[in-house]
Amino acid sequence: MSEQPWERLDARMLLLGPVRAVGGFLVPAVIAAVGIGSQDGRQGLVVAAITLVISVVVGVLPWLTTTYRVTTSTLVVRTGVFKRQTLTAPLDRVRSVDLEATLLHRLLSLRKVKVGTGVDDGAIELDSLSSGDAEALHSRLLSLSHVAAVPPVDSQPVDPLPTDAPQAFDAQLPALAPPPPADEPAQVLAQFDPGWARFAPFSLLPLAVAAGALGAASQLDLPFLSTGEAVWDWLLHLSVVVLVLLVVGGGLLAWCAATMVGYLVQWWDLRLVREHGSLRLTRGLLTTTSTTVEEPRIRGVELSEPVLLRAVGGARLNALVTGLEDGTYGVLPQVPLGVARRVAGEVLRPDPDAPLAAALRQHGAAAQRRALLRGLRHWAIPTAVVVAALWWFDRLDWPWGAVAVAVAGAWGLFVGWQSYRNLGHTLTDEHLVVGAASLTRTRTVLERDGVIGWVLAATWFQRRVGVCTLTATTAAGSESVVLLDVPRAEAEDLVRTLTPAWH
Amino acid sequence: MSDLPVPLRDPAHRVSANAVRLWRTTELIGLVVELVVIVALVVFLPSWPWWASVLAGLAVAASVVSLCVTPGLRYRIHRWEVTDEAVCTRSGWFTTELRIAPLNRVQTVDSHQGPLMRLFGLAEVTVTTASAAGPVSIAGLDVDVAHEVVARLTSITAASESDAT
Repeated sequence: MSEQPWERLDARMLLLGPVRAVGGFLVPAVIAAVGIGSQDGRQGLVVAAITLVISVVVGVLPWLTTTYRVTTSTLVVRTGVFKRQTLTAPLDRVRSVDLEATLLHRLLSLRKVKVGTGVDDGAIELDSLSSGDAEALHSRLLSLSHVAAVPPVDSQPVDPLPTDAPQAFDAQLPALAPPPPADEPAQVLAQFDPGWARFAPFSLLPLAVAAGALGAASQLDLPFLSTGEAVWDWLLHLSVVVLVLLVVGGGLLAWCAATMVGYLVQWWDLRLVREHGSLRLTRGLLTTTSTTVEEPRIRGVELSEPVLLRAVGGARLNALVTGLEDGTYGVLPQVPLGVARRVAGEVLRPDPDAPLAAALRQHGAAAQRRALLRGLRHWAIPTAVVVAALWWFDRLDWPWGAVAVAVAGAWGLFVGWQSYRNLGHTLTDEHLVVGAASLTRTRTVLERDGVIGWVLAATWFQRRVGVCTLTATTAAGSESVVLLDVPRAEAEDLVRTLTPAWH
Repeated sequence: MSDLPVPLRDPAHRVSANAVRLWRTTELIGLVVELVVIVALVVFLPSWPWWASVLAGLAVAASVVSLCVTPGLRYRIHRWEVTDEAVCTRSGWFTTELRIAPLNRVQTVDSHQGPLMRLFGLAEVTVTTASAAGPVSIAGLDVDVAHEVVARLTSITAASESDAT
């Protein structure tokens, strides 16, 4: 084994460090300068100079102290000033290699490299290499990790199990097929379409964030709020109808603009590519990121259609991956359902039964009744409690309370009804397909071999009506897939079919 | 899919009879702690309204009932079995739970013995897979049985390679 030379981070990173450090020190420096400067101007200058020197040193240190090399079997990174650290990652443990570049990195054509080894606590980071070196390291690590991963597959362990054990045990890491030749052309699975941004306003997640920010802002006693009050006084003189139209219309417009801009910034130029037996996702308008996962680590996909998004024919797609810090790998943001389905089909191992389109087996009348009751329990009962409390303290007339409870009840029933319709499961040749019991239509497609255990739980209420909650445990994604209120016999059938080890 | 639904087999073995004593002791300790807390409250609180007595009485009554009933019930319900291919446990009274892990997916086999468990010569064996949702643990095994189970599990799982990560 020839000794590989130790390599340094790219020299341009010397610029990056100080610039960033100056940025980081700027605010405290300004504050210090202003605070002290009010008494003595020169002192402020001294403070600024000291912070600049410190920041340059802090920025330069990583370049001086960080070296790395790739041997045939390991990646070794040495780092640290006072506490020298040597991080060693066996190449067959390398699960993912991600590249990231902020705007500053891109100006200097640098890339930050993150190597994930499937250990939960953190990745190995190299900040930064030149973009060429980063690409080279990326493909070298991934191709070497393939080479390193092959031997265990060739020397399949002697099966200790009796021969009548069905072949669920044979194809343990089925997709660890021989690595494709390195010069195989990359196959583009998905390509960004700016039109997709039209789906951005139909996701409510940013709304919560925005509301939180607004709430926080309203807590601050900002000077422009008095202007706001003046505007408010003027608005109050308008008629109520115009006022409502203005507020609602303006809010919606602002909402659409903000979410669409956010979407474009985050997902601009998205490309999902299959190369060297890995999936690679690149995206970003300002900060670009490239994340790569090996295909054998992909155990399934999760296609979700939140209710608003579904109304306009959109969906989002995650892959369920093992050995990632966060087991779900966001593949596609809000995109047309057709695109999400097609890409999901490409990401999954070929399955003649089309697990994404297959009809789900519903869980029956008992499950339906329980879904409706659950809806009522979650919506009508809390509302009734609040209404009763308000009425008790004379804050609410009872007719309005009754209306509120009725509306909440109706909504609860709607949620229950929808969640029952979305609930279901089916088993294809290769996959377990599960629809979750929620307002969001989520279809989880998990490889049969990805199931590594079961929990069959039933409360007394469930036992009365002959259903149970079946949890398939897995190493990928959120580590479990829950089938709610499955008829007991069907649940047991599933367990028996997928895990013949227990029958 | 089979035409005649045959229920999934329950695991065969009960845990050690000593486990009942262990659980009873644990409950007893809980009851004593509860009583001490109540007495301390009565002594140190400036006033002791009638409803506090009712609450305390209910809590003590619940603990006493639990002390009498739970250990035996747990012993009757809790079952385990390790075959050559899988490990399975059953537990729970209001919510019953059957946990199954095929041995070729097992990552670690731990045995654990707390101070009380040592007193009664018991140990707990926990089998984990690569999923955080899937640990299977057998509480209240005799130490010898626990050792045997661990040895067997390790020898079987060492022979199989993949854990589906």
